[in-house]
Amino acid sequence: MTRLLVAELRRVAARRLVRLTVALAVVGIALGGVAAFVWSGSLSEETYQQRLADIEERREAQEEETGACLNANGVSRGDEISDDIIDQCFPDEFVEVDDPRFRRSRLNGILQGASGGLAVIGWALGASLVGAEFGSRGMTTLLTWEPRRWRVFLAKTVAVLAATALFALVALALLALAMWPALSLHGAPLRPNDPTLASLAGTAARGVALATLASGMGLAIATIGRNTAAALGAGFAYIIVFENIIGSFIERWRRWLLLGNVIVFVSGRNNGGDIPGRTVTAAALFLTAVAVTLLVAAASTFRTRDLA
Amino acid sequence: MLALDGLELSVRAGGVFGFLGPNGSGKTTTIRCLLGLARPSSGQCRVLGVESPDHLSDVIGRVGALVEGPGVNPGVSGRQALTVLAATAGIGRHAVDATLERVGLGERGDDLVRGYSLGMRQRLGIGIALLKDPELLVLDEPSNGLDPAGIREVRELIRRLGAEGRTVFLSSHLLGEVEQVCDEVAIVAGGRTVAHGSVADVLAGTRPSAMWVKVTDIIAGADTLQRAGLRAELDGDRIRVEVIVEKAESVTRALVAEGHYPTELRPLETSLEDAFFALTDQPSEGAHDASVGR
Repeated sequence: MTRLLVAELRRVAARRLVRLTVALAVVGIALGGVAAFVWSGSLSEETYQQRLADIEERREAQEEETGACLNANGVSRGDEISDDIIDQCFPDEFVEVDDPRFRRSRLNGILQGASGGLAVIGWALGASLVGAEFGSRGMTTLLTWEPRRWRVFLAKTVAVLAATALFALVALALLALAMWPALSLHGAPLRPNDPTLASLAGTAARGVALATLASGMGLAIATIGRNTAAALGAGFAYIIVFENIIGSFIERWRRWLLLGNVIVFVSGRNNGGDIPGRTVTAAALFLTAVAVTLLVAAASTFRTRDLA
Repeated sequence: MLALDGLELSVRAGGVFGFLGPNGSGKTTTIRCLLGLARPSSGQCRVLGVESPDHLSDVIGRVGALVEGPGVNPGVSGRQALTVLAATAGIGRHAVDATLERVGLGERGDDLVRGYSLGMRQRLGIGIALLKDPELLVLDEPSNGLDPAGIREVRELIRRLGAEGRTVFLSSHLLGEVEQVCDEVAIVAGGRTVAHGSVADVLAGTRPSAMWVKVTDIIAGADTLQRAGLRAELDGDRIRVEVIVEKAESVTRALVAEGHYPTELRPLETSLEDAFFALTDQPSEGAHDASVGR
């Protein structure tokens, strides 16, 4: 089994898609780090507080001007306001503090966004790594070397999950590292709501778990459909049909759809996203159950079906 | 759909075994069943003495196979493809290099399979089958896509492997190839074995009961044979007479009795191709093209 697993890991490493994905991820992360540094800036806390006070004054003045304008037009509290009066009385944009600093909360948001991207990459990798084997009949060749199908499926699954987990872990670690110059040179003192290092690590860990689960789902569907396109097509159809149409119209179904659970899971906040009452643990369990069910179905199909 | 129906076949250890049959006769299905790629709804397959697929893993290390062309991901190099498979069986890099050399891909081993010609891919497939240094080789159309020189190389390789004491199970549509390299053959049609035995036996079983006769005056000779109660007709500069080899004496006796001394008397030649078409009820015209395949 160890030999088979080593062979499968070698097979994953030999794939050009994997190498290309890694190369693109490294380039993307490096560019992201540069962009974060360039589009952020340092600011002393004193200057920030001064700007905050100035903004507060301007905001009060803005509110006074708006109130006076509304009174002049005979609008009382609770009245409906016409578009003309809105144009006339309300400012084009409300003033806000210009704070160019790179805060931990921003890093947390970037890690969460990257987790979604890694999940999509994981799905595609899982689907491609097994789908290409069916497409090229490499699976047939492999079975003439190891006819015990459950071992082949297990080795492939473990290899794909491990490779995706490693890829996601390294990608998120590199992403955090790439953001480090911006965070350390353009950072700001911690606020009570800013995430701790432990919670940043938690966000990254959930990102790794999500990408890994997604690769398992992609692999399972590609195994059942015996090609990559089946998994990618199923994923696309699912997002378009179930998530968009059913999820939008039947609210109570949302807790049984993937996207809402993914949002809760990645956010790390109970009752997050648009599924009321969904906890992070419940979302994690739901996603794991979906992945495991698909993998069991794929294993069963792979074990019994004839191969060309 | 019934792909195989009452197919009964046994292959002796050692030597080259030819497996012939027209399109859809069940050749590749048989190979798939043997290698555990397809499960028969009933019946039994044994490979190297063990039940397949249930115990195939016990002997798979001694079996090399090429099924319907090489199944290799085109996005990896030939060397990578072999190295990954070698890793599953604990075979070292040295064997990979030696195999690439053996199939003539030593210099192109690091190129992507995508860039290989059909013949090179086929060589890689044969390399995959040979990598385990197997005692049983199952080769499904190994000459597909090869140029004449390549076909000859493969033919010599198969002959050599058989001579080494390995068992080569060769499924091929090249009847000439099978006739030249095989010690035994089986012909399948409609999912059943219609002939099985040594090449000579299969040929003998389908040999037409006729002989060629040459005499100085073939017209008079043919007339003599007809009067002697034999079916004889002119065919170019010789007479074809319907008689089994064992009764050749009656031909000689009839001719000599009337002063016609045979200058040639021999049975009609039968090739494996003739035997194949006779056994599978296929029309023999254009038999050299791909009308006989999987």
